[in-house]
Amino acid sequence: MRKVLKILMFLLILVTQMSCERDEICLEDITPKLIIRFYNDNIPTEVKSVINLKVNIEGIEGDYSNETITILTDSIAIPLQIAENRTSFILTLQGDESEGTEDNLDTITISYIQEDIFVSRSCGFKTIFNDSNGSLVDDDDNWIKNIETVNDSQQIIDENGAHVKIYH
Amino acid sequence: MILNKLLTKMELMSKYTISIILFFTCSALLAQLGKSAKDTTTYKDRYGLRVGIDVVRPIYSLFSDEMNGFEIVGDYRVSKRFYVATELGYRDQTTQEDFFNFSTKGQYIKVGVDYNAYKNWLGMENMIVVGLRYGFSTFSQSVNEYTINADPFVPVRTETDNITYDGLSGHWAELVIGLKVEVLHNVFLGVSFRGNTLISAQKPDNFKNLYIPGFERVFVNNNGFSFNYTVSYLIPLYRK
Repeated sequence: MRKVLKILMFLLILVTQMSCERDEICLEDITPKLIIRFYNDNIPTEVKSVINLKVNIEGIEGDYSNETITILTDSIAIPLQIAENRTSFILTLQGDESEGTEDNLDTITISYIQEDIFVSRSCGFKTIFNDSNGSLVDDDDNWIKNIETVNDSQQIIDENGAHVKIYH
Repeated sequence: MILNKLLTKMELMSKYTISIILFFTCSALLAQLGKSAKDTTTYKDRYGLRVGIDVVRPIYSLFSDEMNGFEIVGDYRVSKRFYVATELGYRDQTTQEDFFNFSTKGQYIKVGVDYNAYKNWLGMENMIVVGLRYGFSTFSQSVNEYTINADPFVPVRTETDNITYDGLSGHWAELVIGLKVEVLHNVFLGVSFRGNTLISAQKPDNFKNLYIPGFERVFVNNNGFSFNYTVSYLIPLYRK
């Protein structure tokens, strides 16, 4: 009888041990955001911060607000469209009424080729962006002077470093 | 939310298991009451082939679109306490996850030994099974649908093209703990709990073996567990 009890006990312990599933929560990296770093147009190696920046994505209502965007910052992380192979961002340098400056809207377009990659049970599939390119839409009064990817045929596979440089 | 749901599910499951165990214990007692011990000093055990089927899966298959499967079980007594045991089965299982949905289709075989840890009264053949198995399965995985996991600010993209990975295989080791009770003459009811460890499996290019027929759900650390409830019939061959 003792043996029986021991075995039943073991069975019970095994069953209770199984009730907690480690793979229920997504902890891995999912689809990376685009990281833009701002540089000084006059001294291209020098990082130059922006303040009061507003980010909109063309075709999506509302602005992308992230705590890193509205404060003084030298880099921002913004999501790319996955339903399309290009994303147009409207970067607005917001004016200050007391200084008499107005909002300055500039549009940049990032194009890329997507590649879907399986991550895990809880995270599902993510996509990475290959061969990405950036371009600036010219208007009369651009606050952005130039845009370029950090590398030729830039890959956006993680959020560990900048992918695109903006000179202003 | 999901965890909660799962916990209740597990609770129900263990409740079920416990009641099954209780049921078997009771029926074992009843069976013992019904028989009178024969007065013989030269009692010989029966040896034979026991074949049966898993009873839950075929019934479940009838009512569920997600699962289709069956399992045939068999064992052959080789000594007083040891049995050579095997399970053969087929499974077509669709699993829904948060961001995707996939189907696994394939067949499996498990072979190994069962040890009877229960000391029977004379003339009885009930078992507390402790066993080991080697499992092998050939199967295919198909991803039916997936939604890219990205920042919720941008619209989602869902791919509905079926991607199938054929000709996959996997093998694993299994620890079996279970009960087998003779409820009618030569008819046994069985329940078993199995803990599995995947030894190796062929991995699809851009997917993972999250489910393997016979192994069932594959957890992050390549472990898993499964149950079966069986009805089997003993074909007695000789006495020893």
